[in-house]
Amino acid sequence: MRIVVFCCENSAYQAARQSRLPAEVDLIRLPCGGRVEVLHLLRAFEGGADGVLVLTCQEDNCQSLHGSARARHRVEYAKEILKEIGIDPERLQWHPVTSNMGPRFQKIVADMVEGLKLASA
Amino acid sequence: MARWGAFICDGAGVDESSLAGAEVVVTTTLPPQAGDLACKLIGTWTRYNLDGGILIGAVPELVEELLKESLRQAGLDPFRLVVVDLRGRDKEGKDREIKAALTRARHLEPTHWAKAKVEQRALIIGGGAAGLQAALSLRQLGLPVLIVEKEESLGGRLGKLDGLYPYDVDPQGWIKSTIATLQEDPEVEILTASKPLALAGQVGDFILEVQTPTGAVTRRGGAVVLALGSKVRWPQESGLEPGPRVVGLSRLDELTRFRLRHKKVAFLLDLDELGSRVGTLSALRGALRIKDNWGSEVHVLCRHLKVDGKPLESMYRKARDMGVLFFKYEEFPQVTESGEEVTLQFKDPDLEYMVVEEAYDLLIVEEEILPAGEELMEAWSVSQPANVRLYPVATNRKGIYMVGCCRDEMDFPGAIQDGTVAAGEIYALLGEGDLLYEEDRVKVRSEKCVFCLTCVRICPHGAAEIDLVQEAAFINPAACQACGMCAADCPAQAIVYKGFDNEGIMAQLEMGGR
Repeated sequence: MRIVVFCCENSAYQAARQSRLPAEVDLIRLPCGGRVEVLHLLRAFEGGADGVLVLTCQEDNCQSLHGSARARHRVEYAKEILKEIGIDPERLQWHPVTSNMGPRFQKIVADMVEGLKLASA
Repeated sequence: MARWGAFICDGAGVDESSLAGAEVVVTTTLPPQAGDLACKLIGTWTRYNLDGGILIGAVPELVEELLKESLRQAGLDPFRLVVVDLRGRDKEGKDREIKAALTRARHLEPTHWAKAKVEQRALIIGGGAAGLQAALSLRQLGLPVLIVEKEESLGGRLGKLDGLYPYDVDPQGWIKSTIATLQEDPEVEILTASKPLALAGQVGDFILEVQTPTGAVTRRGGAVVLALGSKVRWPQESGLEPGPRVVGLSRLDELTRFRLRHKKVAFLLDLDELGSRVGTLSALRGALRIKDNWGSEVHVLCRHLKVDGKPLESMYRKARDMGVLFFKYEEFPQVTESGEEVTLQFKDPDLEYMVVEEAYDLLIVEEEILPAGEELMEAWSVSQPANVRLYPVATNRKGIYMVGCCRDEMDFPGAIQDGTVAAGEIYALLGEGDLLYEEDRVKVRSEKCVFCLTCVRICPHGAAEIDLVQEAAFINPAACQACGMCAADCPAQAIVYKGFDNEGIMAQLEMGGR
């Protein structure tokens, strides 16, 4: 199993540093949630990811004002594409995580792992 | 071929074979203390003439920041330090992290730094308390300032008050002495009865056009302070009409200057559900003034009295000692005006919802205080949403700051603090005389740009500009805050973000594939 986690450097990446992560997680560090492209999300699946997470700042606290909101919109758009090509859109998720939310980061990843296990069973 | 060094923190438990890659020319174990770590890192980096370093181990964010700063000071490229924080990862996870870091490192190009001379001068729009304090602090730090004020004289709303807290600061005295200090100073230019027309340029070199009574003038400065103040709005929704018996709280000083001696006065606060602390403060101040000047009977009606600030609690106690009565209401009081009197009828929850009916000969109503200068901010694409990353005085645009009541409701000490903080930030920006920035972190490849201006539209930091000569967009490197939003949205893929370009991200994605 492989989970790709796109992390905003300012928030989720800092949370990742405080959490215990399963081996199957690949962290991709981004300067801001707004940097993530639909192409990246789809390419992650193409590259063999079973689940993709986009974890960015709280929408009100994005250093680039609407970077986090844009990340969420792109995830929503990519979910539509996944649906069309027959991949469960739940395999792609967006969540806001602040830099001090290590346990929440861990929980989101654990939930994703759990969900994927159920899906493959 | 690039020469990379691998730096493994003591006790990281990393198998050096996982670093197998032609680029790594040296592997060093680093001591656990951050200071020693920086010395050894920089020493090895220079000795082996490395192009970059991969730092592996338990590396908290603060240590990363410290090391990057040390590299910067040593004249090395902090962006070429790839940090792999292995805390919380097991054996397999560590290997994946290291592999990803090597992939990332392979796609990193050297950073080009540029230095630009800055205009060592701050342009302050608004000469109220916050603006004046910013000017004063900047002068103490040695930077020249320009103050643009729309009114004939400096002082803003504070200048119209007779006294601040009854027994504390004398605002007129403060304003007088501040203005005198600034006027004597040859490095301070004051333009009164003037209006800012346009702002061009970016951080380090803003160009401000000002309409003065004698014509338009242009001034340059490295930073801009917006001290636009606030405006007062009558609470129309309440159904109350201003008149001789019903006045707004902001007019209190005009009234108490005269010896009208109203016998019985009421303050009506919290007209919107939340109310404001500044409203409570003004009402307490007003109640004390009226007690002092007129000796009237004073009632204060509120939903909740907000006394959680330094002078507030003591003012409240003082007011009670002087005989001011405080009432609470939940449902908005019934107000009837008849001839010489205004009658209020309300139920006080603390009096077991007993109906209270009182007649007053003056009702003072709390108005809504709104930030001023929205048009200006929109025209200059400046915004300051409630965002912890901008708190307290920074805005979305580098080099533009907001202070005082235009960013939040605040009292005099708050405005003073804002002015001081902004001055400190500006000194950090302009004090050295030049601005160091990365020349090509985010760059438009003009041959690929189709001039759709998507980046200009979406850039949250106002850094994307139009280059009419090249017919292409241009990301101003000094103003860019490197979020990469433009690179993600550019339909022509014309914008490259060095270090976070598509090739690098894709390579990391494919690395773990099967």
